[in-house]
Amino acid sequence: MNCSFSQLKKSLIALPMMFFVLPASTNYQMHDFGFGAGGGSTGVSTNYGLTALVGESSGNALSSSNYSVGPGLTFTRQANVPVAPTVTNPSSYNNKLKIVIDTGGNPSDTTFALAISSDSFATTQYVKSDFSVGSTLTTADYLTYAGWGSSSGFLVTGLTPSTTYAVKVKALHKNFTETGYSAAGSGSTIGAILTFDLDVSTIDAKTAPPYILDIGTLSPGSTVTAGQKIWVDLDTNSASGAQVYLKGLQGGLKSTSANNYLITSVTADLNSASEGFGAQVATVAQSTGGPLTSVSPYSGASQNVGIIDSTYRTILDSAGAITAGRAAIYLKVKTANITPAAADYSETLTVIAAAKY
Amino acid sequence: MTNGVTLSPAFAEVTLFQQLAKQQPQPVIFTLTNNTAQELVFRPEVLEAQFPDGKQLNVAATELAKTILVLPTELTLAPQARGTFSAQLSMPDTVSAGTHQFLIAFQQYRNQPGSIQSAVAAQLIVTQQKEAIYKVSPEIVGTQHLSLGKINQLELKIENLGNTYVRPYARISVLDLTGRVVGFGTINTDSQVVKPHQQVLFPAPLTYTQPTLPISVYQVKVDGRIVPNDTTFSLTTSVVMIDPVTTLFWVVLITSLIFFFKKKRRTTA
Repeated sequence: MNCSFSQLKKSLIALPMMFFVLPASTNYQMHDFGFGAGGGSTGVSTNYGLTALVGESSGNALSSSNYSVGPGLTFTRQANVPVAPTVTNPSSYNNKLKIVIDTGGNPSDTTFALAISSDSFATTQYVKSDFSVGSTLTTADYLTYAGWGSSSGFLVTGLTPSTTYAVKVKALHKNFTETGYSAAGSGSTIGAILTFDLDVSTIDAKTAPPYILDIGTLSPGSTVTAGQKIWVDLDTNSASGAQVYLKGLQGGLKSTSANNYLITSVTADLNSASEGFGAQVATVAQSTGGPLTSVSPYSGASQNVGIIDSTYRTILDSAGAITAGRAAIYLKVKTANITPAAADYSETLTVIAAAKY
Repeated sequence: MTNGVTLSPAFAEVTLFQQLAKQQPQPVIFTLTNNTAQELVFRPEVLEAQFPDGKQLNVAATELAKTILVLPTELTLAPQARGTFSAQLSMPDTVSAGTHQFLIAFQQYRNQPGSIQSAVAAQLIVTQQKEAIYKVSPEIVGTQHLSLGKINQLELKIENLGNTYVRPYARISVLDLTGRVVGFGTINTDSQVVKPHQQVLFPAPLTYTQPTLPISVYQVKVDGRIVPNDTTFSLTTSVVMIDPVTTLFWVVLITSLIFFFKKKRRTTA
């Protein structure tokens, strides 16, 4: 150790050169001669700033398949790596998932960024500050724990149905402190589905096809409401809901035996119309979601009916996902004194349900 | 109570890229499940859905709809059985840019006039990206510049000026005079689309994460973007928010203190 101490001293003074020339004598050379991050200081002048650590080794990460140790100042200054986020699908969503992040013990002003992937991060997208998914990550997309909904979390939107997503989080607490990503949490969206059924009955009951509705005997000058109703079942997990359309084949009740006479379908108050045929929604209900509502002109009361013609017309609408939606539809008809009598007035109706995109 | 028929997926999206216009995209598979105790027969029909005013739905078996071939042409499902239909697109190169929407109706076939037919329909959304235009006109609606109490909700009106379906998203931030974010909200959590020529009003409930002053000017900032092409937009407005109860409390408190000190000074003199 003859001259080694003085040489070491010179080396210590030559801080900027330390990564290029390690402290050494003729006989010895010192590797890794910092202890943690505590041996440095921060030097600042008007124009320059230097944050240095004496003897820090240049980033030899110690890691195994399960653990890693980050050496040096950079690692010491980093925020805590967050715990893997919780990703769930609490309401059978087809296009969104609930994410709750864990702060990992970081302070409340720490911001977090979320990466999301449907292919195990072969391709990575990011959760934007508006909670949708985008291909870029900007500083605006780093939010605090409160910004990400705290312990209640938030719903990430715009996802693809029937897809499993992995989500990982990184933390940032002031400059130069960004961590690596956490372990990933994952959850799955389910496919968009629609379930639909019809029944024809005087009461709320299940019936099997074919669906034949007997209006009964028509009395001239008065409005007749069929005793049987068309019952609709509707379920969908589409976030935008679903609609039910109604159309007719002939545009009214037609009789072949009465020279193809047509009791034309109309949108009208049958009390004041001389003749007409139409539909009116009697009741709407659901177990959860929706709500299921009748659409004008089928939402009237008394003898107000909506037209049933060859155009697909929206009769029922659900504003959102719905479970056990159930509606009843009346068919009403009014005949005039000059309407030919016949026993074969009929119309073929089509009721279609479609989830809203 | 529901049984009937289940359709999955209820909608599907297909994008035609310019360079791939002549290629056939992968067929879209729709699965039907017969939940009833009866054998059911289904026949598919493809209809093009048009929105002349952005709201009304018109469907018709157009020439473009005929370029979508759905097979098989008839499918019989035993009780509780499931089966699939395959929709194959063969759209011509000349198909106009933008988004085209189709309904594929799977009708329970019964050769029985005078009956009520039942059908479930899948939505097929096809976007031709060649010369597609993504353009929206965003507007903050109905926000007063003076508010008694905190603004609990903001409404954003998005008008689609392009030819393609878009999904707008936005984060609304409420900032105090120092630029600190005291509240936030988002729009379109259901990922609703805005169709060409359509205007949609999106509510944005606001959540406050920091305390606000009894009287202060706040900046409401909207940072939005539209999907799929990530076009961004931003809007700002200023609002003077006055909390009447808290303001009254402070006025009473300060007046009382002034009165107290004046009285004390007189007593001391």
